[in-house]
Amino acid sequence: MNMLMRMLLAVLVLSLAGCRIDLARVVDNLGNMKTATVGVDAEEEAAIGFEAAATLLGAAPLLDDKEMQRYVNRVGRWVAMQSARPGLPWRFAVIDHPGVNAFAAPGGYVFITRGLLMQLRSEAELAGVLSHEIAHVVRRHHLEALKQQARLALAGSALAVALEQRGRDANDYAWVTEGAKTLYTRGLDRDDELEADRLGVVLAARAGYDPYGLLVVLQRLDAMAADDSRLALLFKTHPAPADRLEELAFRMDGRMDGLAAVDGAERFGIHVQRLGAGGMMAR
Amino acid sequence: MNWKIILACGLACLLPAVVLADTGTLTRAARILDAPFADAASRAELAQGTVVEVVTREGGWYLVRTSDGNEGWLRLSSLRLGEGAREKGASLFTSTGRAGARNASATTGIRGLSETEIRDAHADAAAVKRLDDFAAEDAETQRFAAEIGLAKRDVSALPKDVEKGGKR
Repeated sequence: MNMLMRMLLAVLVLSLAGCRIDLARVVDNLGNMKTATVGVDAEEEAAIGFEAAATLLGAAPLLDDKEMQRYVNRVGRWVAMQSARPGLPWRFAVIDHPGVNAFAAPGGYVFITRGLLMQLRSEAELAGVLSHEIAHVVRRHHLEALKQQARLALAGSALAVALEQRGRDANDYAWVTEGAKTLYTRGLDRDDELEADRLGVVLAARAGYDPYGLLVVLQRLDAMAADDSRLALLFKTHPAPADRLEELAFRMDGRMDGLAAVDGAERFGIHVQRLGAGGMMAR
Repeated sequence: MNWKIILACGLACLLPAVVLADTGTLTRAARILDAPFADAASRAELAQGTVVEVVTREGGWYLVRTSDGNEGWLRLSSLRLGEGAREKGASLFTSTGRAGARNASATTGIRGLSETEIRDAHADAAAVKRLDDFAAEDAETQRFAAEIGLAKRDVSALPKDVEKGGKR
Protein backbone atom coordinates (compact mmCIF):
# COMPACT_ATOMS: atom_id res chain seq x y z
CA MET A 1 0.00 0.00 0.00
CA ASN A 2 2.73 2.36 1.04
CA MET A 3 4.66 1.40 -2.04
CA LEU A 4 1.65 2.05 -4.21
CA MET A 5 1.12 5.49 -2.66
CA ARG A 6 4.75 6.35 -3.33
CA MET A 7 4.49 5.22 -6.88
CA LEU A 8 1.33 7.21 -7.41
CA LEU A 9 2.94 10.25 -5.85
CA ALA A 10 5.99 9.86 -8.05
CA VAL A 11 3.80 9.61 -11.12
CA LEU A 12 1.85 12.66 -10.05
CA VAL A 13 4.99 14.72 -9.46
CA LEU A 14 6.47 13.59 -12.73
CA SER A 15 3.33 14.38 -14.66
CA LEU A 16 3.04 17.76 -12.99
CA ALA A 17 6.65 18.45 -13.85
CA GLY A 18 5.86 17.35 -17.35
CA CYS A 19 2.90 19.66 -17.38
CA ARG A 20 5.04 22.52 -16.28
CA ILE A 21 7.47 21.91 -19.07
CA ASP A 22 4.70 21.52 -21.60
CA LEU A 23 2.94 24.64 -20.40
CA ALA A 24 6.15 26.58 -20.63
CA ARG A 25 6.60 25.34 -24.15
CA VAL A 26 3.03 26.10 -25.05
CA VAL A 27 3.32 29.64 -23.71
CA ASP A 28 6.61 30.01 -25.53
CA ASN A 29 5.16 28.74 -28.75
CA LEU A 30 2.14 30.97 -28.44
CA GLY A 31 4.52 33.89 -28.10
CA ASN A 32 6.40 32.80 -31.19
CA MET A 33 3.19 32.31 -33.06
CA LYS A 34 2.07 35.80 -32.21
CA THR A 35 5.38 37.26 -33.32
CA ALA A 36 5.27 35.19 -36.46
CA THR A 37 1.73 36.31 -37.24
CA VAL A 38 2.58 39.99 -36.83
CA GLY A 39 5.73 39.47 -38.89
CA VAL A 40 3.88 37.70 -41.67
CA ASP A 41 1.22 40.40 -41.68
CA ALA A 42 3.77 43.16 -42.10
CA GLU A 43 5.68 41.13 -44.66
CA GLU A 44 2.50 40.34 -46.55
CA GLU A 45 1.39 43.96 -46.52
CA ALA A 46 4.78 45.04 -47.85
CA ALA A 47 4.71 42.40 -50.60
CA ILE A 48 1.16 43.23 -51.64
CA GLY A 49 2.01 46.93 -51.59
CA PHE A 50 5.08 46.36 -53.71
CA GLU A 51 3.05 44.60 -56.41
CA ALA A 52 0.30 47.22 -56.35
CA ALA A 53 2.90 49.99 -56.62
CA ALA A 54 4.64 48.15 -59.47
CA THR A 55 1.31 47.94 -61.29
CA LEU A 56 0.73 51.70 -61.02
CA LEU A 57 4.29 52.46 -62.09
CA GLY A 58 3.76 50.12 -65.02
CA ALA A 59 0.93 52.39 -66.17
CA ALA A 60 2.98 55.58 -66.05
CA PRO A 61 6.66 56.25 -65.30
CA LEU A 62 8.23 58.09 -62.39
CA LEU A 63 8.92 61.76 -62.94
CA ASP A 64 12.59 62.00 -63.87
CA ASP A 65 13.43 64.73 -61.36
CA LYS A 66 15.24 63.57 -58.24
CA GLU A 67 15.00 66.93 -56.44
CA MET A 68 11.23 67.01 -56.88
CA GLN A 69 10.91 63.39 -55.75
CA ARG A 70 12.98 64.11 -52.65
CA TYR A 71 10.90 67.18 -51.86
CA VAL A 72 7.64 65.24 -52.05
CA ASN A 73 9.16 62.51 -49.86
CA ARG A 74 10.08 64.99 -47.15
CA VAL A 75 6.64 66.58 -47.09
CA GLY A 76 4.98 63.16 -47.07
CA ARG A 77 7.27 61.67 -44.48
CA TRP A 78 6.74 64.62 -42.14
CA VAL A 79 2.99 64.06 -42.26
CA ALA A 80 3.34 60.28 -41.99
CA MET A 81 5.48 60.73 -38.87
CA GLN A 82 2.39 62.19 -37.17
CA SER A 83 0.28 59.14 -38.07
CA ALA A 84 -0.38 55.92 -36.17
CA ARG A 85 2.15 54.14 -38.39
CA PRO A 86 5.24 56.34 -38.41
CA GLY A 87 7.59 53.37 -38.70
CA LEU A 88 6.43 52.13 -42.11
CA PRO A 89 8.97 52.38 -44.93
CA TRP A 90 7.08 55.32 -46.46
CA ARG A 91 7.77 55.92 -50.15
CA PHE A 92 6.34 58.91 -51.98
CA ALA A 93 6.66 59.62 -55.68
CA VAL A 94 5.50 61.85 -58.49
CA ILE A 95 4.18 59.92 -61.49
CA ASP A 96 4.99 61.57 -64.80
CA HIS A 97 1.48 61.87 -66.14
CA PRO A 98 -0.80 64.83 -66.97
CA GLY A 99 -3.83 63.11 -65.40
CA VAL A 100 -5.03 64.63 -62.12
CA ASN A 101 -4.93 61.96 -59.43
CA ALA A 102 -3.18 60.48 -56.41
CA PHE A 103 -2.89 56.87 -55.28
CA ALA A 104 -1.86 54.84 -52.27
CA ALA A 105 -0.69 51.26 -52.01
CA PRO A 106 -0.37 49.09 -48.88
CA GLY A 107 2.77 49.27 -46.81
CA GLY A 108 3.46 52.99 -47.25
CA TYR A 109 3.43 53.82 -50.98
CA VAL A 110 1.90 57.15 -52.00
CA PHE A 111 1.82 58.54 -55.53
CA ILE A 112 0.74 61.88 -56.96
CA THR A 113 0.58 62.64 -60.67
CA ARG A 114 2.42 65.58 -62.19
CA GLY A 115 -1.01 66.74 -63.40
CA LEU A 116 -2.34 67.07 -59.85
CA LEU A 117 0.89 68.53 -58.53
CA MET A 118 0.63 71.33 -61.07
CA GLN A 119 -2.86 72.22 -59.84
CA LEU A 120 -1.51 72.88 -56.35
CA ARG A 121 -0.30 76.20 -55.01
CA SER A 122 1.25 75.52 -51.64
CA GLU A 123 3.00 72.89 -49.59
CA ALA A 124 -0.06 72.76 -47.34
CA GLU A 125 -2.15 71.74 -50.35
CA LEU A 126 0.41 69.08 -51.25
CA ALA A 127 0.40 67.91 -47.63
CA GLY A 128 -3.41 67.77 -47.79
CA VAL A 129 -3.36 65.49 -50.82
CA LEU A 130 -0.60 63.26 -49.42
CA SER A 131 -2.36 63.12 -46.03
CA HIS A 132 -5.48 61.68 -47.64
CA GLU A 133 -3.36 58.93 -49.22
CA ILE A 134 -1.36 58.38 -46.01
CA ALA A 135 -4.69 57.91 -44.22
CA HIS A 136 -5.62 55.15 -46.68
CA VAL A 137 -2.38 53.36 -45.81
CA VAL A 138 -2.75 53.93 -42.07
CA ARG A 139 -6.25 52.44 -42.13
CA ARG A 140 -5.19 49.64 -44.52
CA HIS A 141 -8.03 50.47 -46.93
CA HIS A 142 -6.37 49.09 -50.05
CA LEU A 143 -4.94 46.08 -48.24
CA GLU A 144 -8.36 45.06 -46.94
CA ALA A 145 -10.01 45.74 -50.28
CA LEU A 146 -7.44 43.68 -52.17
CA LYS A 147 -7.73 40.76 -49.77
CA GLN A 148 -11.51 40.95 -49.86
CA GLN A 149 -11.45 41.04 -53.64
CA ALA A 150 -9.17 38.02 -53.75
CA ARG A 151 -11.51 36.08 -51.45
CA LEU A 152 -14.58 36.96 -53.52
CA ALA A 153 -12.88 36.28 -56.81
CA LEU A 154 -11.82 32.77 -55.88
CA ALA A 155 -14.93 31.42 -57.57
CA GLY A 156 -13.39 31.46 -61.00
CA SER A 157 -11.93 34.62 -62.45
CA ALA A 158 -8.49 35.57 -63.64
CA LEU A 159 -7.67 36.12 -60.00
CA ALA A 160 -8.47 32.54 -59.11
CA VAL A 161 -6.05 31.34 -61.75
CA ALA A 162 -3.45 33.73 -60.46
CA LEU A 163 -4.05 32.54 -56.91
CA GLU A 164 -3.62 28.92 -58.00
CA GLN A 165 -0.32 29.84 -59.55
CA ARG A 166 0.55 31.51 -56.29
CA GLY A 167 0.11 28.15 -54.58
CA ARG A 168 3.30 26.94 -56.21
CA ASP A 169 5.27 29.65 -54.49
CA ALA A 170 4.00 31.17 -51.27
CA ASN A 171 6.06 34.30 -51.86
CA ASP A 172 4.60 35.03 -55.26
CA TYR A 173 2.26 37.98 -55.05
CA ALA A 174 1.66 38.29 -58.79
CA TRP A 175 -2.06 37.80 -58.11
CA VAL A 176 -2.09 41.31 -56.64
CA THR A 177 -1.57 42.83 -60.08
CA GLU A 178 -5.04 41.87 -61.31
CA GLY A 179 -6.65 42.96 -58.06
CA ALA A 180 -4.81 46.27 -58.06
CA LYS A 181 -5.93 47.01 -61.62
CA THR A 182 -9.53 46.45 -60.62
CA LEU A 183 -9.17 48.46 -57.41
CA TYR A 184 -7.44 51.45 -58.99
CA THR A 185 -9.98 51.66 -61.80
CA ARG A 186 -13.09 51.07 -59.67
CA GLY A 187 -12.06 52.82 -56.50
CA LEU A 188 -12.52 52.12 -52.81
CA ASP A 189 -15.78 52.32 -50.89
CA ARG A 190 -17.20 55.78 -50.44
CA ASP A 191 -16.86 55.45 -46.65
CA ASP A 192 -13.15 54.69 -46.98
CA GLU A 193 -12.68 57.83 -49.05
CA LEU A 194 -14.56 60.03 -46.61
CA GLU A 195 -12.65 58.52 -43.70
CA ALA A 196 -9.35 59.23 -45.48
CA ASP A 197 -10.48 62.83 -45.97
CA ARG A 198 -11.25 63.26 -42.26
CA LEU A 199 -8.09 61.57 -41.03
CA GLY A 200 -6.03 63.32 -43.70
CA VAL A 201 -7.10 66.76 -42.55
CA VAL A 202 -6.20 65.87 -38.97
CA LEU A 203 -2.78 64.48 -39.94
CA ALA A 204 -1.93 67.62 -41.93
CA ALA A 205 -3.02 69.76 -38.98
CA ARG A 206 -0.92 67.67 -36.56
CA ALA A 207 2.06 68.24 -38.85
CA GLY A 208 1.55 72.00 -38.46
CA TYR A 209 0.16 72.66 -41.93
CA ASP A 210 -2.88 74.73 -42.80
CA PRO A 211 -5.59 72.08 -42.29
CA TYR A 212 -7.63 73.53 -45.13
CA GLY A 213 -5.13 72.47 -47.80
CA LEU A 214 -7.13 69.42 -48.85
CA LEU A 215 -10.40 71.38 -48.86
CA VAL A 216 -8.97 74.03 -51.14
CA VAL A 217 -7.72 71.36 -53.53
CA LEU A 218 -11.16 69.73 -53.58
CA GLN A 219 -12.69 73.12 -54.27
CA ARG A 220 -10.34 73.68 -57.17
CA LEU A 221 -11.04 70.21 -58.60
CA ASP A 222 -14.75 70.92 -58.29
CA ALA A 223 -14.29 74.07 -60.33
CA MET A 224 -12.56 72.23 -63.16
CA ALA A 225 -14.81 71.16 -65.99
CA ALA A 226 -16.40 67.80 -65.30
CA ASP A 227 -15.67 66.60 -68.83
CA ASP A 228 -11.97 67.32 -68.49
CA SER A 229 -10.51 63.92 -69.32
CA ARG A 230 -7.58 64.48 -66.99
CA LEU A 231 -10.08 64.12 -64.14
CA ALA A 232 -12.04 61.19 -65.52
CA LEU A 233 -10.50 58.46 -63.37
CA LEU A 234 -10.41 60.59 -60.21
CA PHE A 235 -14.09 61.45 -60.61
CA LYS A 236 -14.99 57.85 -61.37
CA THR A 237 -13.19 56.43 -58.34
CA HIS A 238 -14.02 59.08 -55.73
CA PRO A 239 -17.14 60.80 -54.44
CA ALA A 240 -17.67 64.17 -56.18
CA PRO A 241 -15.26 66.83 -54.84
CA ALA A 242 -18.19 69.06 -53.84
CA ASP A 243 -19.65 66.25 -51.72
CA ARG A 244 -16.31 65.55 -50.06
CA LEU A 245 -15.87 69.25 -49.35
CA GLU A 246 -19.34 69.53 -47.89
CA GLU A 247 -18.79 66.47 -45.69
CA LEU A 248 -15.42 67.72 -44.44
CA ALA A 249 -16.68 71.23 -43.74
CA PHE A 250 -19.54 69.70 -41.79
CA ARG A 251 -17.24 67.49 -39.68
CA MET A 252 -14.70 70.26 -39.11
CA ASP A 253 -17.40 72.75 -38.21
CA GLY A 254 -14.92 75.50 -37.49
CA ARG A 255 -13.05 73.46 -34.88
CA MET A 256 -9.75 74.12 -36.66
CA ASP A 257 -10.36 77.85 -37.05
CA GLY A 258 -7.98 78.85 -34.30
CA LEU A 259 -5.00 76.75 -35.46
CA ALA A 260 -1.90 78.53 -36.65
CA ALA A 261 -1.30 77.46 -40.20
CA VAL A 262 1.91 77.14 -42.21
CA ASP A 263 1.18 77.04 -45.93
CA GLY A 264 4.73 76.81 -47.28
CA ALA A 265 3.67 78.44 -50.55
CA GLU A 266 7.11 79.90 -51.17
CA ARG A 267 9.06 76.66 -50.80
CA PHE A 268 6.44 74.85 -52.86
CA GLY A 269 6.62 77.51 -55.58
CA ILE A 270 10.37 77.12 -55.92
CA HIS A 271 10.02 73.38 -56.51
CA VAL A 272 7.04 73.48 -58.82
CA GLN A 273 8.52 76.22 -60.97
CA ARG A 274 11.30 73.75 -61.66
CA LEU A 275 8.69 71.15 -62.52
CA GLY A 276 6.90 73.47 -64.92
CA ALA A 277 10.05 73.92 -66.97
CA GLY A 278 12.22 70.90 -66.19
CA GLY A 279 9.49 68.32 -65.83
CA MET A 280 8.07 69.05 -69.24
CA MET A 281 11.40 69.11 -70.98
CA ALA A 282 12.41 65.84 -69.41
CA ARG A 283 9.85 63.92 -71.41
CA MET B 1 6.75 63.92 -79.04
CA ASN B 2 8.04 67.10 -80.53
CA TRP B 3 8.54 70.18 -78.39
CA LYS B 4 5.46 72.04 -79.69
CA ILE B 5 3.17 69.29 -78.46
CA ILE B 6 5.02 69.23 -75.16
CA LEU B 7 4.63 72.98 -74.80
CA ALA B 8 0.94 72.84 -75.71
CA CYS B 9 0.36 70.12 -73.12
CA GLY B 10 2.19 72.17 -70.55
CA LEU B 11 0.16 75.28 -71.22
CA ALA B 12 -3.10 73.35 -71.19
CA CYS B 13 -2.16 71.88 -67.82
CA LEU B 14 -1.58 75.32 -66.39
CA LEU B 15 -4.67 76.92 -67.85
CA PRO B 16 -7.45 75.99 -65.39
CA ALA B 17 -5.52 77.17 -62.35
CA VAL B 18 -5.00 80.57 -63.97
CA VAL B 19 -8.54 81.04 -65.24
CA LEU B 20 -10.25 80.11 -61.97
CA ALA B 21 -8.02 82.10 -59.71
CA ASP B 22 -10.15 84.85 -58.29
CA THR B 23 -13.88 84.43 -58.77
CA GLY B 24 -16.37 82.49 -56.72
CA THR B 25 -20.11 81.86 -56.66
CA LEU B 26 -22.16 81.43 -53.50
CA THR B 27 -23.64 77.95 -53.28
CA ARG B 28 -26.12 79.16 -50.66
CA ALA B 29 -27.32 82.43 -49.17
CA ALA B 30 -24.81 83.59 -46.56
CA ARG B 31 -23.82 86.56 -44.47
CA ILE B 32 -20.41 88.14 -44.96
CA LEU B 33 -18.71 88.94 -41.67
CA ASP B 34 -16.36 91.52 -40.20
CA ALA B 35 -13.72 88.93 -39.35
CA PRO B 36 -12.97 85.25 -40.05
CA PHE B 37 -14.85 84.00 -36.97
CA ALA B 38 -18.31 82.51 -36.69
CA ASP B 39 -19.38 85.08 -34.07
CA ALA B 40 -18.04 88.14 -35.91
CA ALA B 41 -20.49 90.93 -36.79
CA SER B 42 -22.44 90.59 -40.02
CA ARG B 43 -21.85 93.13 -42.78
CA ALA B 44 -24.31 92.01 -45.44
CA GLU B 45 -26.45 89.12 -46.57
CA LEU B 46 -25.58 87.70 -49.98
CA ALA B 47 -28.00 85.68 -52.05
CA GLN B 48 -27.27 82.25 -53.43
CA GLY B 49 -25.60 82.60 -56.81
CA THR B 50 -23.92 85.91 -56.03
CA VAL B 51 -20.63 86.16 -57.89
CA VAL B 52 -17.80 87.52 -55.77
CA GLU B 53 -14.14 88.30 -56.13
CA VAL B 54 -11.97 86.23 -53.79
CA VAL B 55 -9.45 88.54 -52.15
CA THR B 56 -7.68 86.14 -49.83
CA ARG B 57 -8.14 83.11 -47.59
CA GLU B 58 -7.49 82.63 -43.93
CA GLY B 59 -8.00 79.07 -42.73
CA GLY B 60 -11.56 78.06 -43.53
CA TRP B 61 -12.60 81.59 -44.51
CA TYR B 62 -12.45 83.63 -47.71
CA LEU B 63 -12.38 87.41 -47.77
CA VAL B 64 -14.67 88.27 -50.69
CA ARG B 65 -15.76 91.44 -52.49
CA THR B 66 -19.04 91.89 -54.32
CA SER B 67 -19.52 93.91 -57.50
CA ASP B 68 -21.25 96.66 -55.48
CA GLY B 69 -18.27 97.02 -53.18
CA ASN B 70 -19.34 94.95 -50.16
CA GLU B 71 -16.47 93.14 -48.57
CA GLY B 72 -16.44 90.53 -45.83
CA TRP B 73 -15.51 87.04 -44.67
CA LEU B 74 -17.33 83.96 -45.86
CA ARG B 75 -16.98 80.27 -44.95
CA LEU B 76 -14.92 78.38 -47.50
CA SER B 77 -17.68 75.85 -48.00
CA SER B 78 -20.25 78.51 -48.96
CA LEU B 79 -18.36 79.22 -52.14
CA ARG B 80 -17.79 77.43 -55.39
CA LEU B 81 -14.76 78.67 -57.28
CA GLY B 82 -15.47 79.97 -60.77
CA GLU B 83 -18.32 81.95 -62.20
CA GLY B 84 -21.73 80.64 -63.19
CA ALA B 85 -22.60 77.17 -64.41
CA ARG B 86 -19.53 75.16 -65.38
CA GLU B 87 -21.12 72.32 -67.21
CA LYS B 88 -23.96 71.99 -69.64
CA GLY B 89 -27.21 70.98 -68.00
CA ALA B 90 -25.78 70.76 -64.49
CA SER B 91 -27.33 72.78 -61.73
CA LEU B 92 -24.72 74.85 -60.01
CA PHE B 93 -26.46 74.75 -56.70
CA THR B 94 -27.05 71.11 -56.01
CA SER B 95 -24.30 70.61 -53.50
CA THR B 96 -24.76 66.86 -53.47
CA GLY B 97 -25.04 64.28 -56.20
CA ARG B 98 -23.29 65.98 -59.03
CA ALA B 99 -23.93 63.00 -61.21
CA GLY B 100 -22.54 64.75 -64.25
CA ALA B 101 -19.06 64.58 -62.87
CA ARG B 102 -19.28 60.85 -62.39
CA ASN B 103 -20.01 60.27 -66.04
CA ALA B 104 -17.17 62.46 -67.15
CA SER B 105 -16.19 61.55 -70.68
CA ALA B 106 -12.95 62.07 -72.47
CA THR B 107 -13.52 65.08 -74.66
CA THR B 108 -10.39 67.14 -74.27
CA GLY B 109 -7.11 66.47 -75.96
CA ILE B 110 -5.14 65.24 -72.96
CA ARG B 111 -5.81 61.82 -71.58
CA GLY B 112 -5.93 61.20 -67.87
CA LEU B 113 -4.18 58.26 -66.24
CA SER B 114 -6.92 56.24 -67.78
CA GLU B 115 -8.50 52.92 -66.99
CA THR B 116 -6.99 51.55 -70.17
CA GLU B 117 -3.50 52.54 -69.17
CA ILE B 118 -3.89 50.83 -65.81
CA ARG B 119 -5.52 47.73 -67.30
CA ASP B 120 -2.71 47.38 -69.85
CA ALA B 121 0.04 47.99 -67.32
CA HIS B 122 2.89 45.54 -66.90
CA ALA B 123 4.15 45.65 -63.33
CA ASP B 124 7.40 47.60 -63.15
CA ALA B 125 9.25 46.25 -60.12
CA ALA B 126 12.45 48.12 -60.97
CA ALA B 127 10.62 51.44 -60.71
CA VAL B 128 9.40 50.56 -57.21
CA LYS B 129 12.96 49.75 -56.16
CA ARG B 130 14.10 53.14 -57.48
CA LEU B 131 11.81 54.77 -54.91
CA ASP B 132 14.40 53.92 -52.24
CA ASP B 133 16.68 56.56 -53.78
CA PHE B 134 14.19 59.33 -52.98
CA ALA B 135 13.12 58.21 -49.50
CA ALA B 136 13.52 60.66 -46.62
CA GLU B 137 15.01 59.81 -43.22
CA ASP B 138 13.37 60.99 -40.01
CA ALA B 139 16.22 63.33 -39.00
CA GLU B 140 16.43 65.19 -42.33
CA THR B 141 12.64 65.34 -42.42
CA GLN B 142 12.58 67.05 -39.03
CA ARG B 143 15.12 69.64 -40.22
CA PHE B 144 13.11 70.14 -43.40
CA ALA B 145 9.94 70.77 -41.37
CA ALA B 146 11.68 73.20 -39.01
CA GLU B 147 12.94 75.23 -42.00
CA ILE B 148 9.51 76.74 -42.49
CA GLY B 149 8.39 76.59 -38.88
CA LEU B 150 6.39 73.37 -39.02
CA ALA B 151 6.01 71.80 -35.60
CA LYS B 152 3.91 68.86 -34.59
CA ARG B 153 0.93 69.54 -32.36
CA ASP B 154 -2.02 67.79 -30.79
CA VAL B 155 -5.19 67.93 -32.85
CA SER B 156 -8.21 65.82 -31.93
CA ALA B 157 -9.70 63.44 -34.44
CA LEU B 158 -12.79 64.65 -36.26
CA PRO B 159 -16.08 63.08 -35.21
CA LYS B 160 -16.90 59.67 -36.72
CA ASP B 161 -13.23 58.95 -36.79
CA VAL B 162 -10.83 57.65 -34.21
CA GLU B 163 -7.31 57.11 -35.41
CA LYS B 164 -6.22 53.57 -34.69
CA GLY B 165 -3.67 51.33 -36.23
CA GLY B 166 -6.21 50.15 -38.77
CA LYS B 167 -9.06 47.71 -38.91
CA ARG B 168 -8.33 44.18 -37.88
